[in-house]
Amino acid sequence: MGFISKLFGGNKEDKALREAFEQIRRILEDEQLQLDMIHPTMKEMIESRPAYDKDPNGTGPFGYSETNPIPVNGPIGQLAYLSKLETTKGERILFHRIGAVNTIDVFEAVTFSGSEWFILFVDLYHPRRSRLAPDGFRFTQEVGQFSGFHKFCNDFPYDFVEMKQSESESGLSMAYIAISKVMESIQNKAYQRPLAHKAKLDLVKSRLTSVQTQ
Amino acid sequence: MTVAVCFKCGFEKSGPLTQCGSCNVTPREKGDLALSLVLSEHLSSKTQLEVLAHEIRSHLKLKIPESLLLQANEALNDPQLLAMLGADSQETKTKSRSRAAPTAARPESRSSSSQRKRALHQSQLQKNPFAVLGVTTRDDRRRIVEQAEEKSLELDHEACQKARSDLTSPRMRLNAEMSWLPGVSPRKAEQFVSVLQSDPMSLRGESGLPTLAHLNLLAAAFEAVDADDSTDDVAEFIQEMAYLVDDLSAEQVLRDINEDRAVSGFPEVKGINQVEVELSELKRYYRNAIKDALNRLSPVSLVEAMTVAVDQITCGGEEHAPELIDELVDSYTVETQGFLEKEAESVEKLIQTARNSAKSGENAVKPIVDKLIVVARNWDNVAQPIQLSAKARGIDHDPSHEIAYSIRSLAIDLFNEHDMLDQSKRLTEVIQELFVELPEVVERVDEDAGALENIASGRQMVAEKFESFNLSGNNFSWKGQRYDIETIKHIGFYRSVTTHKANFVETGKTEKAILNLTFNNGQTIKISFDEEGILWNKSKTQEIQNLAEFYGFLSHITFDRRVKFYEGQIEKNGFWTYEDCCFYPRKKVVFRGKDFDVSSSSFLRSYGCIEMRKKDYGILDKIKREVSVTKIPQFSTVTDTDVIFHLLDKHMGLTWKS
Repeated sequence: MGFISKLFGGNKEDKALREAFEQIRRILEDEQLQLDMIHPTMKEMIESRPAYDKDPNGTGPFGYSETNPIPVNGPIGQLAYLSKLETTKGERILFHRIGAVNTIDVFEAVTFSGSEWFILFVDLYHPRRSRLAPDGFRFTQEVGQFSGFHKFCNDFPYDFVEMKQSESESGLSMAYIAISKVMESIQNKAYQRPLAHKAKLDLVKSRLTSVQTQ
Repeated sequence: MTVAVCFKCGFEKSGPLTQCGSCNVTPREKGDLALSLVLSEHLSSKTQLEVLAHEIRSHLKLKIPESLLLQANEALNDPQLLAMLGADSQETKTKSRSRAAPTAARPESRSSSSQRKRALHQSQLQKNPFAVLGVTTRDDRRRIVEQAEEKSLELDHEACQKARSDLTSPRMRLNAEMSWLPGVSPRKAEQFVSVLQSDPMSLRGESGLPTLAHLNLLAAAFEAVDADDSTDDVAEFIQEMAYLVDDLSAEQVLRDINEDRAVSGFPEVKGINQVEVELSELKRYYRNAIKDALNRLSPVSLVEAMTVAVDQITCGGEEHAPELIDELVDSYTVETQGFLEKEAESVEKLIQTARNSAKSGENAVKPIVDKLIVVARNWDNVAQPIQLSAKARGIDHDPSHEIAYSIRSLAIDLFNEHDMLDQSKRLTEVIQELFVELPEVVERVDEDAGALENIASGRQMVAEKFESFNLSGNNFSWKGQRYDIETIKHIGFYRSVTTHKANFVETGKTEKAILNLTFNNGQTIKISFDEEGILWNKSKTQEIQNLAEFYGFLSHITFDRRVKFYEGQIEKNGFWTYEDCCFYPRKKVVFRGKDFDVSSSSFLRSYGCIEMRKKDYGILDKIKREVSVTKIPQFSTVTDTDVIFHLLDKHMGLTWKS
């Protein structure tokens, strides 16, 4: 945007761009909009549940245990929350949903560089998302563009590009991170699950009550 | 899902750290967990897995690279994995109820029982003072008194007052608290009591409850078990209770109770001793709740439920059972003692009858063995949980040992003394089947079975070999008549080759073999094959060879008895007679009144006879013998050849180079 445009409030194109950015920002951050975007019945159910940062009766490590899941506001809230996480080393994560244990969704996640892998438990039946981050994580200062999917990725995370393209009809594709951010690691085949993570996946998969496929 | 091999049984399963669908074992110890990770696609190729699976199934030592175990152990340090394994083991504790049963069958039996709705109104939990008065563990004294007054209007006054007294007296209150739902919020407790009334079995699906509260709910639900419940389901339910009882922690109970007392204003329980005393009472109550439930089943179902529970929880007697199971088995032992003693008596009587009937032959023994097998099976069926429990505890169940050895002894005697191979084998197979829980018995009986099998197959081979003699058991046939080998007294065998010549030119050879048998009753038979015919000669090599081998076989199995015949003479007379001679051990041979001293005579062996001469036999003696018409001092060795040479060696010290 040029200096003159800024001075005079911009032209029509600038305005459309601003509106688009504003819409993206709202999708990423506006909890109410995130709720408004889902089915009214589900929204009603979610709004009837308590809003808190952490289940007061939860047991086990926050976010890492199905008995102490991260409360978030619906499926878009899940994407927004997980996309805002970064490790204490400052690395953001790619993620996908591998299924659910009863009502608790289970996500597999990996840092952009492939250095660390995680299994996170998220409860989407809450009106707002938690303000707490699981141990080893904090919230990024970057714009938390979506970096994962509320779906199972068969070839996670190598199929990130295809999965992102498949989101084009959902109205969320604009809110996703640029492919260039992960392309290098994908091309370098940098994502190798460590043994402990594979073992955890086996265990968690054996306990899933619903398994999601594409 | 990841392909893995079970570290215990070697069968394929899904995921290395999950429960095995074949043996139902879940790895829990760190060593087992590490090994399980190695035994998966994560660390081994499919070919390696096949090799390792084979080694496990064959009980061979596993050859695993140290580096793989290191990797596995490193992975097991992951905190989230450890937490998941902890949660998983809790879950599998309840899942592992049905270790021996096929996993697919479990949910079916469980659901059939759980789905059948039934009401429960008078369980111990519903009679608890908290339930009677409708008060919570957090209500204070004033509220309890008020509720007691109010409830008195609709319920029995006495009962309400007693409930009030129980809840307000600090000593009695602990009992009420511990029999209630400690650690469960009042709202949840109310819900549980309501569910207990309308659908008690659904409480089995509850998870995440404090152990004592969970147990109290399940014990109450046990009161709803009836004769319509499947034995598998009852067995599963027993195992759920047993695992929970093992998890009871007095410290945890004390904490839960004091947390509520802090709210209700009652003084906190100071020492853990009181809690422990109450816990031991409660354990007794749980045991009795299960026993009462079992007694509501039919006797057959009761035994089956006990057997399934003990079998599954001990992995067929291979692992220690939880305390509750051991106690249940002890009660069961006491209660079945009378029955088992009676059945054991029947077994002993039948064994004695079989022994007495053995002389009358196999046809007389077979129906007794049939009956014995039925009674032994019945006995074993009832004793099964006790045997499994004893095996798991590493102790012997003496009555089982006694019965197993009595039957084994009969099996041995029936074979050794009466040659009843078939009956002996049947009994041995029954012991192998029924007393599999007795390792020592199994080991011995396996040896017996092996020996009997060898004998049976040996006999089969012999029968096939001597097909022309129609050999069966102790009998053989010749020319349409059957003979008993056991009654053979003497055996003589003669084999010769005749060279035929015409004008001093050899025209051929014929062979001849004769087997003479003398029986105890004096009967004799002669079996002969001669290649020389009246008109032409015919090759009978095969028959003659067969006869020679049959002679060898008969000689072998009648040797001891024939030796005994001559030994008996020595014992009775001091000498034995054979052909025209009397043999005085170590002294002399008397031939037609003439003594041949062993030390001063030569015994010259030739084909079919032994000639006796003085050692100083000279040219004059030779001339005299040539012109003499009297028989040369010699005796034939054709009859009982093997026995005679044995006796000459043993009693006369006479041996010849072959």
